[in-house]
Amino acid sequence: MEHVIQFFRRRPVLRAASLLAGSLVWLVGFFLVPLAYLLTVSFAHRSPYGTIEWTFGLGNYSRAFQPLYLEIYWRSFWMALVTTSVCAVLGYPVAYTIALRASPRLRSTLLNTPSAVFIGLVYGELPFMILPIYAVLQKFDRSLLEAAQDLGAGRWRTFFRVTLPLSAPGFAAGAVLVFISSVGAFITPDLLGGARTMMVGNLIQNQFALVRDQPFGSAVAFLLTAVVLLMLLTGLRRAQRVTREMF
Amino acid sequence: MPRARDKGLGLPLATFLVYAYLYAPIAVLAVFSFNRSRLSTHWAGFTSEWYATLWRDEQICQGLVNSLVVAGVVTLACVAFGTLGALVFGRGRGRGRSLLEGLVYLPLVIPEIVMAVALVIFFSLLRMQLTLRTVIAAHIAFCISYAIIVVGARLAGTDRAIEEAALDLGASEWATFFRVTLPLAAPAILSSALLIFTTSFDDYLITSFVSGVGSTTLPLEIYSRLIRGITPEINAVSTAILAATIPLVIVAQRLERGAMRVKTALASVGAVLLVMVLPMLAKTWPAGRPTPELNIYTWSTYVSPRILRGFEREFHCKVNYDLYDSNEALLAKLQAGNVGYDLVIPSDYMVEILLGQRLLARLDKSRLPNVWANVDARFLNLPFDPHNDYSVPYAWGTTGLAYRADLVGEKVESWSALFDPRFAGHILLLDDMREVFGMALKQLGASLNSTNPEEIRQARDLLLRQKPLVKGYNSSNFEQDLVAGDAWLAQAFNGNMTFALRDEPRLRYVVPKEGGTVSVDCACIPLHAPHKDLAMEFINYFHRPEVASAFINDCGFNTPNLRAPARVEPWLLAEPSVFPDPAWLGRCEFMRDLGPVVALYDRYWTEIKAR
Repeated sequence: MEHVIQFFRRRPVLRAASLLAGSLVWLVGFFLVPLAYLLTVSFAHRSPYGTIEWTFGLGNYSRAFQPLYLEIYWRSFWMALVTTSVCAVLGYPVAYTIALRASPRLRSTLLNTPSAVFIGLVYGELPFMILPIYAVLQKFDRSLLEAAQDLGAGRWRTFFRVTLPLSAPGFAAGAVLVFISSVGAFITPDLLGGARTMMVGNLIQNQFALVRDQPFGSAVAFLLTAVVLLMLLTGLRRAQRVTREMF
Repeated sequence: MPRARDKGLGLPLATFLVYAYLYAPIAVLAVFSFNRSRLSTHWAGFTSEWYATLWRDEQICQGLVNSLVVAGVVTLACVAFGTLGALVFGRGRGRGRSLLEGLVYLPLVIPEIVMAVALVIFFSLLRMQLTLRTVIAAHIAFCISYAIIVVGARLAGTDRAIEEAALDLGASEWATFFRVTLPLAAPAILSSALLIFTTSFDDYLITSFVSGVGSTTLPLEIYSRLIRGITPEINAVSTAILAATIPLVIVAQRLERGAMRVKTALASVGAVLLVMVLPMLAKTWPAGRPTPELNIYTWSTYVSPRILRGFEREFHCKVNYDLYDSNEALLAKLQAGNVGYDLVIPSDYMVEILLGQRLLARLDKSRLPNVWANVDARFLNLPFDPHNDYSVPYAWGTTGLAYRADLVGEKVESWSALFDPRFAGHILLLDDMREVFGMALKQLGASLNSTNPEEIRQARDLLLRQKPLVKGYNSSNFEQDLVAGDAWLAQAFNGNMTFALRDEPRLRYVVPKEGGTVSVDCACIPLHAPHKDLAMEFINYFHRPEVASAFINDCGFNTPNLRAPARVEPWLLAEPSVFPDPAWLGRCEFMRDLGPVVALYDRYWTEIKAR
């Protein structure tokens, strides 16, 4: 055993690689490679019977930008935005109370990672908003509040000028998390919307499970991914940092 | 001082309300799981009957066992691989770092639906059979990041000096890992394990894409029942899971506060899981030698438990079944690759399509004597399979119009009622492309098999104009909406209406004067079915007179078996949804495979649904 350890000690790159091997097999083999295949399929075409025809072109993408589909994206975007806003409005007081107002004992009963998972198991999105805001507010320096009030700011003024702006990274992180998971949702619209209101999630799902236009479904899925990644990269990188602190 | 001053913002109240919003529905669910009434709307006294029903319900028990197996294996794999990965991820620096970070975070931020479709086409590319193994592989792929991140964060936050001290004091690297690093990371490992377990246990979306026959997890089972209406059994199973979750949450909290040692925590989590798993395993564990299995993929309305149980007893096997609500869903599943079904029940035109795609196996006709002896010759040798080499008629029916005579207030004999603005918001259509277009084409006076692009376009325009009047698209439980009075008119499969017509005298079912669909659903065996012999036995068994009549009695659909009606309950013989007026059949058409033009239908259907 010591030989093995000595061997790896002298080869740090190999050591890192072998420690990562298990994770990489899955992240590459069952995530990156399927994603790359999805991208390839999105340039192919559908045969009349719904199998994939390997002739490549941009047809699926130009179709994905037709007004009909733009309407669906817009609807999904809009619904996700409303969901996110409602979560922010509902989630903020909770995160605030737990982080700044509750006694430590009460705090640990109301919220920590596993019990948030427990809520999440049942209720989807709200915890994804509460947790990041909580993570930010928990680190919040209370003396800033005192300073603001000493300098003559009222309660509301302190809140709007100090607390709220400082919660912004938490909001951003929460918004990204809630937005992403609600923009691709398809079960809720199917179950509660009588299969009548189509969102981008349903559009993709239908292409695979009913209409069998996998190339077109892949193109829409890829566009959705691209939009989400773009959102993350443009200025929302801090979301990642807060998310990390959340755990 | 500041604490006193910012009181009065109403925050505690707001927090309380949000928590109430989160927890009140769960409380209601728990309370109603003890409700004597089957309807979940009013309280009719206490009963624990639904929990007993649950215990006898094999589909739910099997679903629970599958979910526990998946979540268990996924948790172990993720924690093992993830912890090792975290040693690098939490502490490593260097060039590969941001690349690795991207790779680890990507599964968490990518929309789940994208991951689901990517995995399903990937599995179909590899021709992998969709089983619990593919479900597990998929779950590990989207859960492993949690372990890497959570454990990595914990390791990044610990002081390396402790481990260096151990090494300096002569401990081997091996011993240091087990005696220092692992205990330091233990709370994070356990906390990520809980997170992964719940995420995997709870997952619907990805699982629904990558699961095949016999790998139905609990969320899938619950969802497939939910779309047919909420039942007390669903409330009961949810409450039972909730009850099992509470000790886990308590353990996690105490662990987090440092009030519990990791070993005690592990022991209690293990105990809870054992209490949950053991009785389930004992119940579902196959007794004695492994029994052969028959995997049926059939219409959601075609399940008669006593027919399946009878077959299991007589042929010493286990019957699994999955359900679909449209021929297109069946086709998509069979096209997706190796799904493991032994018997499917497509309608006539779909048999033609499946044959065209070489997805069906040839039947051994000599093994189906009951079929040749009992099935009405009018249903044999039909154009979609001229010699019944690949398909045998199983059930037949019509698609017509169902309505509430009291709410509509007049006799309905034409599809045009579905386009009448007076009934706006009370009209249901089938969630079925060919049926909806067929209805519109009939309304236009065309054939429901039209391949004329102009006619199809007109049908689309008609349906687009009608869309604002439509309450929803539903192929699975539209009759419940009619009985409840939420829907007044619905395009309907005949058999769904049978029991509703008996229970609600104000309901009517007609095939409109413009004509409707007549369909023959056929038993077929997929090309790569693993248990073809058993499937053949099942088809032959189904056409025994007593079994075929049990199908009519239980499902409310008719079969082409000539000797079945003799044993059918008398009221059914008078029910037009089962035994239709011969004049109706005169105006009905069989659907045919339309060839390449079906792509146009698909496209217009997406447009209509998208509005």
